Amino acid sequence: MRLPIRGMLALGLVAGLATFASAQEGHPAKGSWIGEWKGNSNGESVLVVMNWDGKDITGIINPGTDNLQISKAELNPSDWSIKIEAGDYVIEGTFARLELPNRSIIGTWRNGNARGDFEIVRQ
Amino acid sequence: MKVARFPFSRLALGVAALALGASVAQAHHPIQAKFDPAKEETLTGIVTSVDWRNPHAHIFMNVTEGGSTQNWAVELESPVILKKSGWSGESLRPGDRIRVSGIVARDGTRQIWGETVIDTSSNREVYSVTYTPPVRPLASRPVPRWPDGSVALGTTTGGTDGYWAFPSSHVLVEDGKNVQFDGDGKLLNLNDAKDVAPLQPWALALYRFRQERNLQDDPMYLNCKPPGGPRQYQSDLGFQLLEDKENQRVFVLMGSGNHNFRIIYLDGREATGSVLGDDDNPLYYGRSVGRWENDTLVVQTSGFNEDFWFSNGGLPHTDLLSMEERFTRLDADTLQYQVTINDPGAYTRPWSASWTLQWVGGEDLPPYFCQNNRQ
Repeated sequence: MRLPIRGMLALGLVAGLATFASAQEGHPAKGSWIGEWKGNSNGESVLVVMNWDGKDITGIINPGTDNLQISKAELNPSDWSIKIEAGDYVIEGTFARLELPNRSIIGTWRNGNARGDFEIVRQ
Repeated sequence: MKVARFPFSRLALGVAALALGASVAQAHHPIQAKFDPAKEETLTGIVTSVDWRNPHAHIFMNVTEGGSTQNWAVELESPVILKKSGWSGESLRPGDRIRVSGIVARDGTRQIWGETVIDTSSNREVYSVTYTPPVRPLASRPVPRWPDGSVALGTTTGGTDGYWAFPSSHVLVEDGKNVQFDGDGKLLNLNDAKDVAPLQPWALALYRFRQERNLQDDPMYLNCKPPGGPRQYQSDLGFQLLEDKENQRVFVLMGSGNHNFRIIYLDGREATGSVLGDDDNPLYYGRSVGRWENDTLVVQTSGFNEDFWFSNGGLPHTDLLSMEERFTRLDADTLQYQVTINDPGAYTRPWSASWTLQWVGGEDLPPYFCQNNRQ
């Protein structure tokens, strides 16, 4: 199977950045995350920045002119699942490789009838 | 006499793994991260070499069974501890016949943690650890003081060298809680995790996760990250308190890690600004300012990063962490350390822990570096 060049570049960027992920032994969601929401007509690349203030996970998706503020994010530590709501988007995923600084959140996104796979890697 | 294992030196053998061609992905671990306590083994064979290097010394031995010979790596304590116990790299020589009892590597490679090593030609035990606290005087000695009458936390001018070591606790646990751990901070009963400290749900889950993985992800062992926070006072290799009276500051020199140091300022400055960093660059040891309350040094510290574990055993913390530490020299040979943890990012309320440390007089800090192949 041939990968489109843009896809390969994006994959390489994610993999390369993931290699240099800084250590982070605090709240697992905290940090900058890069990845893809597959099938999103607004662009498949996604950047998520999350913070933990002791009570709530706050953050932003795709910082910039078309950013989305995270309105609600809930971590369920019993299975390390997380649900993120931002605008009309709902993202549900699970942490993978929790022990590593370049851990992942893998799951799905949906916005109305649109939906697809979602995966981000902490940088 | 064999003493309790030393939590600071539960490091793995990258060197040995390379020599064996074994696939060891990580260089350092608490012992249970690499070796399985349920897999006891006794091996008899011939020494091929002794690798006398930090983080751990190793014996390599040929073991012949069923007509085939295989080379095993026997992991021992660090050369620092072994040397203090009277051993050297020449205590065994190639060709010596030995019998080793211990626990073997979880991954099935030919590596064993050497609980006991017997030189079978003389039937004597070698490389046993006898590094023990100094014998306390029968009567407590008075607290040393500076000429101005203030308590000396370390060595006074003209006094003998010394440092603080042998903490009465190797784990950070809330005062008053009865929870049992091994020497590395691993819970004997995982169900006790909730009792260690008032953890938030995510922090409790992360703590349990780290415990379930046998502490193998500890960044102090994996990446030689500094033992920031209270952890710096829970290594048997100890620390030295150097009081710079002229400049009103105290240096805390670590005996473990990479010989890091921390500065406590007593000159009245605010706990902000540059302390080998800046406001946007939180630190492993935070920013510390202190003051004297009678004979107790009270230290306020904040500005920690989240790149390390602040306790043996993996209790989480966040960059919201602040600590109040109280150092009281109870007598010449005993230092009481009390710490109040305030981290609203990881805990539901402030909580406190305390332990004592023992003075080791007449010696400098052990020359231990957390780097492969260094001493």
